[in-house]
Amino acid sequence: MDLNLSESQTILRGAAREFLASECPPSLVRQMETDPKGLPPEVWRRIAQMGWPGIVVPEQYGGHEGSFLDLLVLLDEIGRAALPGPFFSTAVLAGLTILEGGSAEQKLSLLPRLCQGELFASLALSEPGLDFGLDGLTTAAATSGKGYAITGTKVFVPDAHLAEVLLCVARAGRRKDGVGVFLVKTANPGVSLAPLETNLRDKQFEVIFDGVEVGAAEVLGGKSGARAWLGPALGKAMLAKCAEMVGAGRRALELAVEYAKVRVQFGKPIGTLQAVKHHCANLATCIETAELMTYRAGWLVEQGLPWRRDALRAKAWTNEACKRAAALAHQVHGGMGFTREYDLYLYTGRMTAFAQMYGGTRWCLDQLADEMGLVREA
Amino acid sequence: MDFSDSRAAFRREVAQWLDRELTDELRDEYARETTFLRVPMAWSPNILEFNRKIGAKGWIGLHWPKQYGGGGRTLGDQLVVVEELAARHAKIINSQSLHATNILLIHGTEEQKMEIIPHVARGEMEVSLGYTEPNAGSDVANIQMRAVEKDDHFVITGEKIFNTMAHWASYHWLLARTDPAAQPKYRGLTMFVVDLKTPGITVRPIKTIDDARTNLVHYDDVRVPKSRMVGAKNRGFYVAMDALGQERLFVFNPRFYRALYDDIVQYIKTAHRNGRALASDPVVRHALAEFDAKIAVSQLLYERVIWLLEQKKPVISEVSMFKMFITEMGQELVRRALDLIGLPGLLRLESKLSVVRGLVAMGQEGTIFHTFAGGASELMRNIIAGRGYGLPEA
Ligand SMILES: Cc1cc2nc3c(=O)[nH]c(=O)nc-3n(C[C@H](O)[C@H](O)[C@H](O)COP(=O)(O)OP(=O)(O)OC[C@H]3O[C@@H](n4cnc5c(N)ncnc54)[C@H](O)[C@@H]3O)c2cc1C
Repeated sequence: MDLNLSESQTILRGAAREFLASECPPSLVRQMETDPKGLPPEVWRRIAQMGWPGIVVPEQYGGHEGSFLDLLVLLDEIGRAALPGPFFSTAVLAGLTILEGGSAEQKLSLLPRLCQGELFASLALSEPGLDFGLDGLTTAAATSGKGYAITGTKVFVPDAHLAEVLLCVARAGRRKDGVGVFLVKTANPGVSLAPLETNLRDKQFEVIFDGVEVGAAEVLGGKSGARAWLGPALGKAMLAKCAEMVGAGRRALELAVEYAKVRVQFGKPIGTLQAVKHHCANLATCIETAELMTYRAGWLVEQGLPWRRDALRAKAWTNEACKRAAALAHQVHGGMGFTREYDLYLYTGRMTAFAQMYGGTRWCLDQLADEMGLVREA
Repeated sequence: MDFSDSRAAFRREVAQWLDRELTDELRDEYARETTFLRVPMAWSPNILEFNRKIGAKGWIGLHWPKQYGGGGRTLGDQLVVVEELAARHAKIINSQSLHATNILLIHGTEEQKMEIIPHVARGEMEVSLGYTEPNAGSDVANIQMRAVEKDDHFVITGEKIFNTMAHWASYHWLLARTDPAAQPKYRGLTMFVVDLKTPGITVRPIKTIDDARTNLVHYDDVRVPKSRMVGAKNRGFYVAMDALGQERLFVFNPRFYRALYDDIVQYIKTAHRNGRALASDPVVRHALAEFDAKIAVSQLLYERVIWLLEQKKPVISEVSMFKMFITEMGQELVRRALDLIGLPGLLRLESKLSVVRGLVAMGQEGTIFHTFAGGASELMRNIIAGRGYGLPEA
């Protein structure tokens, strides 16, 4: 075992932390809650200049060709700063999906612009009444003329308002479990967006596809065989989310420990009280373990070793650890942490909401049970 | 970062040997006699013999210097043996003496080392740990057992409680008070390694709720030569703390719980309850998946400590987190497993209808003391908060 970051990862982390501390302070995060775009274009431009959107994209497509762990290190910092905006939707959801499923041609046409920060894209996967995953989709792509016509309703499509292209996951082909990923321009007739309001004030949308026509070439990696490669892409996105949660969790932990040292009640810092100490120790255990699980699964991905089971374990664990950690951090803070002017909610809100995204605990455990060969209920 | 198992080659060697040598009956015997750290009234001849066999392989004290019968290898290698045994519900039965030995290597005299360590390494000698007293449990500094210096010896009087293995051990690893006036109290303690056959020592059994045995050890004006002192006078508390970091890795092992878990899953896959396959019940599926993740967490916490020790970094917070986590998880696992399995989970190994080697039944009582003995969870949390995260003392 070696838990140290490589030299280049240490540099990446330092640079990201420095950049985010100056360009994305908590005041900006708060301000963006009501901003129609969700991130100042200037900040995105600088993020693109640093090459973050293409951090794991091969050089031939204009990326940095970093490793998967590099991506996790970066998202850890992004979580720590509660960076809002389209990084996750564009670089992670769309980026990884294109990388896993796109043909060389598709990659060439999409990725260089994505790496430059010019192309915003997002993934349209979830549907009302469905968990994270590929089973039970109702959105369908029917053959139509020379291409397809897509019809269905997607929810929790992040940053659809910015996206030029949506990667729409739809049932396709003759087989019952056939799934395809279709490149749909949001400007196409038949695409309509409606915002979905969340506590987090992240930019989530309902997207209705009403017989949207897409060309035959606008399918990623074959019209109905997406299951084989989309699963891994989503699994990686799941781990990327874990890293972001771990970063937010670290920050919440730091805030709680700091607060316990300085908040005085009954004539002494509350951190001298054992009940409060134990809250902090439990909080620390949550975050340290979530971190270990996340990076271990990420390392397996990077090594090309089997990683699905560990990714599911990591997300299930990180979800529950972060939810518990969020509650503990608030308990330590008392009323102060309950105010919008204090920063804690920026992190705990993400820890809680992200636990539901790209694999909630129930879903992860269910998949894990399948992996372990436990039978499903008939 | 690197999460690979750097000890894989040696692990294969140990696993192969154990799979050949450890018969199914012997495995059952270990499961019945030693799991959850219980100590039977007396060791069976088979287990005693197998422990000597492990010793003869050179696998006890692999990380000790060769001149004392050790293997001159790494702590990580020694732990491979512990882990592979744990994965088969077995253990090094004289493992308490590893605590004493690790300290002797730092503080012992040449004579003490030669007298004890080679025998421990052969798997034939145990050293019983004599810390706890009726009025000094978690608060080790409050030890009252009195050692009075007189000429070339000490006269020791008092009582120790919960000194597991004292009925089998050759030596007693004794922390006693040499300065009653010392402030703070932990400065007045001295460490001794006492021959348990010394006149004036009586060992009486305490039966425990897991059908095992620990002991009361009574000293009545026992003459202990000064040559039995370990480290300097009144430095005993520091001496005792010296090997604590690595010692906690020898007691609770994630691979034991992984093996137990695998057995539970195996059983559940074949079992039916209320007319349906147990494994198809969503509650069962989710509980098992949850523990699959939890055991993986404990494994990482464990490996993190080894990694830090290898680099001679402080481990106090990390090892405390590991101990707290694995013991709480172990308790939860056996309790949840009992609920998933239902009534058959209550059956002991000797029962004709027993399942999972009777371990779920045994674990109900067997895991209870894990969360308070050898560093209570509450103290572990104090350490994580205080040493790990700098929260102030009261
Ligand atoms: C089966 C078994 C085998 C054992 N083997 C040995 C052995 O071989 N050698 C040996 O020396 N000892 C042995 N022990 C003793 C063991 O180490 C003690 O039980 C342990 O140190 C706790 O002490 P105690 O039982 O007196 O509990 P106490 O210390 O009285 O603790 C009772 C409760 O109070 C809590 N508490 C105490 N202090 C604090 C604090 N500062 N903050 C918060 N909570 C606190 C504890 O966490 C616990 O919940 C054994 C015990 C058992 C049960």
